[in-house]
Amino acid sequence: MSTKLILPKWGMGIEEGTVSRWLKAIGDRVEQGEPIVEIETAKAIQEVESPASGVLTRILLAEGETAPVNSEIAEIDDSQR
Amino acid sequence: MSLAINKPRPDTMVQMTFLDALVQAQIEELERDERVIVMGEDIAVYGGGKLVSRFDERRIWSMPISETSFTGVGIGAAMTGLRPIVDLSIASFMYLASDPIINQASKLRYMTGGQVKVPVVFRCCMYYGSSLAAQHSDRPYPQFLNVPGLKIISPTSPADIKGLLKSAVRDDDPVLIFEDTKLWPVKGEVPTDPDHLVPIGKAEIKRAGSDVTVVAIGGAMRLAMDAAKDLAEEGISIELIDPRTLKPLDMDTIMASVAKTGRLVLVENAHRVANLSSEIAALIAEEGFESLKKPIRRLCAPDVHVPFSPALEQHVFPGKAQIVAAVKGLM
Amino acid sequence: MSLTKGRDSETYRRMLRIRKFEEEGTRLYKAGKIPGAFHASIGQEGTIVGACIALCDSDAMTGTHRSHGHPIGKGAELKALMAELMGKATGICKGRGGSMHLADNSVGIIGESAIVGGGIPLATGCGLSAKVRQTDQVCLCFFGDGAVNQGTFHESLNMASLWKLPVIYLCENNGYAITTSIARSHGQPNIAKRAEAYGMPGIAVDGQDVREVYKATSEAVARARRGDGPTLIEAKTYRFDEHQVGLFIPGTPYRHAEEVETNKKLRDPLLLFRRALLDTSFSEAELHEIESSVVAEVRDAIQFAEASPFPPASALYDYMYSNPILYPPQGATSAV
Repeated sequence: MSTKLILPKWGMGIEEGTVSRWLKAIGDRVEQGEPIVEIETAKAIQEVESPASGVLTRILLAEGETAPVNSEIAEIDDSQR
Repeated sequence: MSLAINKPRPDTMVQMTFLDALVQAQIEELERDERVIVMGEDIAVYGGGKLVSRFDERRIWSMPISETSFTGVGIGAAMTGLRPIVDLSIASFMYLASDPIINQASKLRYMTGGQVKVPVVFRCCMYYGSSLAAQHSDRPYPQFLNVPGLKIISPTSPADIKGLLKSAVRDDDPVLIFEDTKLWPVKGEVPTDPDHLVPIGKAEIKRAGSDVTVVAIGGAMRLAMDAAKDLAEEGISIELIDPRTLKPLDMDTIMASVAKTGRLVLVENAHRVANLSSEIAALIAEEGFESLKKPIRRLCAPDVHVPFSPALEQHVFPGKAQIVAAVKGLM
Repeated sequence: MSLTKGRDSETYRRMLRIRKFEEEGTRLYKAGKIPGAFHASIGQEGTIVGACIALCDSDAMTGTHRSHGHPIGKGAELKALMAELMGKATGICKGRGGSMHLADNSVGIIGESAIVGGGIPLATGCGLSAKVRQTDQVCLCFFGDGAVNQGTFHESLNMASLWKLPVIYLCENNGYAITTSIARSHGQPNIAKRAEAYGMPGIAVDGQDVREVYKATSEAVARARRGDGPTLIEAKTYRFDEHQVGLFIPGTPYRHAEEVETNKKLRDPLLLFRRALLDTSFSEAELHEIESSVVAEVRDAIQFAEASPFPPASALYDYMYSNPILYPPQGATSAV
């Protein structure tokens, strides 16, 4: 099973975010609640936590790229506990 | 006075977002002039965190939920020696604030025969296209265009929001700023000069061209720029104009462009009945009719409320494809 | 002359100025010399002057559509006021305000709002400004019994109390919002009592007794200057004339003729104060001297106003903007 990492909503007026830095690389283990990526919005740079424990298998938004909120930006394989 | 003249003018530029430039402009004006104060609700939440942490309570006034009266308080303070920036956060709150803005701020200089001046800035953010439904998605500047005595600006670039906000604070008349949240993350080069001023009442040609004049207002500018790039690849040359100031409108720039191209597309996200495009179209019809090769095209939000569901809302505001199609339709 | 006697003399003079100015104004209005609407404050002079005389020249003030008394109470010259009533170029507002908006900024008035309750936030803003600028200026805010039912009253008094702003909220309670009585419009008819809800003192005074209004306002001014915040004063007064000169109101009268006559006879603030002055420190001759000089002042003001020119059409756009840009805009003049 894989869990998708969604670009979060941070409140009114923030409709897109840009990856400033991935804190994990593909193949890395992450725990649920562990910071996985830094996203820059118009208001701030904020860390996004992993929604599941497992292995980061896909990154869909590279550093410097921008996407709308609610977009899928990564996948975590949580079958490899 | 001599201080300002002798001060070195740094002409360095720095990359920043529209929202950062907006906050930067306020910080610089608060530091420059102790008569400047900021008044608003939850200022930190709506992008002003740096203001709250930097200045004390005598300069940054956190308001109770009383939009009508705190707008009037800003006007009264402006008439008695301060230069307030009244932050109304969400544009829909402008309706509550409209009585003091229209009946007091816009009229008092005239009604007193010039005895008083009202140097106040009213800011608000236009949120739309993000499922906030009709009461939080308004773009209400057309209502205020019909009020004599106001100046209204809606800049689209980081350098312009900085320069025009500063001009607004230093202006002796009431100025309304309609900020489009679609522009918050836009990055651009911004002069670091604390006296970087963009004049109120001057449009800017964002892109020179020869085939079709496109006038885009507020957040529509982002899409219009993308559309102009795409059309250039197809050999269609767009002259893209940003009015920047909506009142008083710089019609000379628009008129001169239409005289050159003979074709005009107007793009804005306000509802189409009696909006800024209507006024521009009317003025072109009155004074620039001979220049037109084709009918004027207006792309605006239709006369319907902004719905909540994304499935419906996506049909309300003009997109890049419609701009491209409208331009091609005139060729 | 003692301090008190000097103040009494000036108080009587200003009350009389309002009375004579408005009596003559009413006559001129009926004769077609004054356009628009004319709202006289005859009967309310004790409230207006009692409050104004407690201020310093540098203090600010806001007023209402019943605006003639406010600048006169604050000490304004009459000539430019009368010229304004006639729409002349020499008017205090250059013919752009008229009867409902006789704001004279030279005596500290920042606006006379014909939007009921519209001046209350402005006065509050003036108080906020005084606090930011760290001056000891106070602002006197006049409004009527009708305005206390506007949201701006509630919102503004809350803010003024919260920040302890130097504002004196003075309600000229003449009992009627046009034709609507307090009994028919106020859930809490005791207006002074509303102050408690905002955490400020609320004081009810006899608005026909100019000395009582002066005393209450002086205390409120002192409190404001000390930094202890605003006060709500309800001055119970009475309007002798109709809401507006010549106003036709069909149906059953909203107030009895007898009520009006009794007030004119027994509760005229000028007669009451005159009697009190004669009982204490003034002679009949001294009062006569004030009276004849006021009559002359009003006569001079009328002569000045009548001799003044109307503003020319070319002045239509003047005073719109402090620093105009492309104004008037293209096409704007063609419609005129």
